[in-house]
Amino acid sequence: MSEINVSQKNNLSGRIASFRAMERADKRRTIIDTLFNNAMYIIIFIAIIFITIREPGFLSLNSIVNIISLTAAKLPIALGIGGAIVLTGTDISAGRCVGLTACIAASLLQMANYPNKMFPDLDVMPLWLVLLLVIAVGAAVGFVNGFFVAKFKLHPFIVTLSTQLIVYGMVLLYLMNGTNNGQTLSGLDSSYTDFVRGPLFTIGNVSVPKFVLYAIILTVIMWFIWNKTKFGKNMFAVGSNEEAANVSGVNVFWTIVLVFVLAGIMYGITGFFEGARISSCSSNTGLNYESDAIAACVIGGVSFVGGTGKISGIVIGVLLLQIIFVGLNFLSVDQNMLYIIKGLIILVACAIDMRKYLARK
Amino acid sequence: MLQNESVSDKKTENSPMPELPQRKPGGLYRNIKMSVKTANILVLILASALLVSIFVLTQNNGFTVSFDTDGGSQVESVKVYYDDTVAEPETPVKEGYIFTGWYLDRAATEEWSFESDTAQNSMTLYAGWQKQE
Repeated sequence: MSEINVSQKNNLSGRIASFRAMERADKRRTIIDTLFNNAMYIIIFIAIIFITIREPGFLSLNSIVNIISLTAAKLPIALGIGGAIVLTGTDISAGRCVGLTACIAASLLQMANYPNKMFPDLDVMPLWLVLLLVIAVGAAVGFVNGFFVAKFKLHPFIVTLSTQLIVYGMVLLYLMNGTNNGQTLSGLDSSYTDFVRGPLFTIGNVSVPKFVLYAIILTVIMWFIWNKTKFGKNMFAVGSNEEAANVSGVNVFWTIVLVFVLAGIMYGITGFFEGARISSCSSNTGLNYESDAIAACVIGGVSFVGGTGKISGIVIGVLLLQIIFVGLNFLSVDQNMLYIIKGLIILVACAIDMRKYLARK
Repeated sequence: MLQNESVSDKKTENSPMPELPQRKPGGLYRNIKMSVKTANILVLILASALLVSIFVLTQNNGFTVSFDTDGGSQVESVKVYYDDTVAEPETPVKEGYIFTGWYLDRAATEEWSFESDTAQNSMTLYAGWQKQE
């Protein structure tokens, strides 16, 4: 961690000066290194220019607000997964976990007089209670993930793959509850949708939804946890070298468990917002959200090498990814086709991440 | 995280300050044996594949709007572009029911307006039916 921090604190002019002083071969290598390490940003830049030329309306206020609110919606889940990636793991149960918590939140907050209500006798529950409940559900899934990873040293891919399936089964079972019979949940109470989707402020005639503010608050909290708490420092220590962390007195077991629990809490909060944001929840809600989040983290420099990553990087990663997706949506590319792009983006981002590691070695 | 070697032998050594082991090599990439040059080529290939697929997909674009008649006569799906209105399809028929319009959900609560609503993505519109008295 320390040497990385020092090199990042070097200012730009210092870097340029040291670049001028280099030999020709070194200069060439530095340029190639810079180009390759930033290849993802270059690709995204090319794509933005291409999209803007095809559809100049892409840079309108409307779509910029759209990009910002989509970024805010996908940010908490990426902040959660970021911790797991810092530990050289990952979490692929995230999307289904968001789906489960979104369905729970939506079912408890349907309008009192909605005809297809899941629990017809239930009054609309208080928002804070539902929020606490979904956070608890998310944390429970996270605890299971973390426990199996930390205790049995199973790879997080395997553990979270199984919890992903288990949680999906729970979503399907939950949707069969009451009179619902597996149908999509809609008809949400206005207190819920106003709390999440209601306008925070309005620019021009485009309103920014309230969940943008909540995403900013969550980002600040996560920044604090990562950078200013003992737990955050332990997380980076365990991620960069578990043995060393253990020797220097870090409780590795609880650090890993807490990283996953924190991620689970983030999924719960995302699910709560997602339920109101898309306003109709089905078993497909949250499908593949983890792939976006993992891609965003890796683009933003949270490395699978372990022990490196910054909150600001995650924010930038999510933003860049949403710019691409909104842009392709603008060009009328079918949502189904985006999966091909998403898969390739993850591959490219990981290849660049691996290249950075090889070049440093 | 995945290393099985135990650290107990390090602890039993009688050094006053435990020597910190070197940074664990590479996390997820620790088993990769590859030169930087090969990695460069890999990045180049994947990056061009990504750019090419973005270009190809934007050439072959358009959202599909399909119509679910819930047992009524079939209605062909149509292709639309971003922010366009959808052309109203032929009215479906179903024995014993009266057609009430096209809706965004099967429960027929949110009606789709062919004059004012615009397509933001691929979607399915559901036919609303009212039982004939």
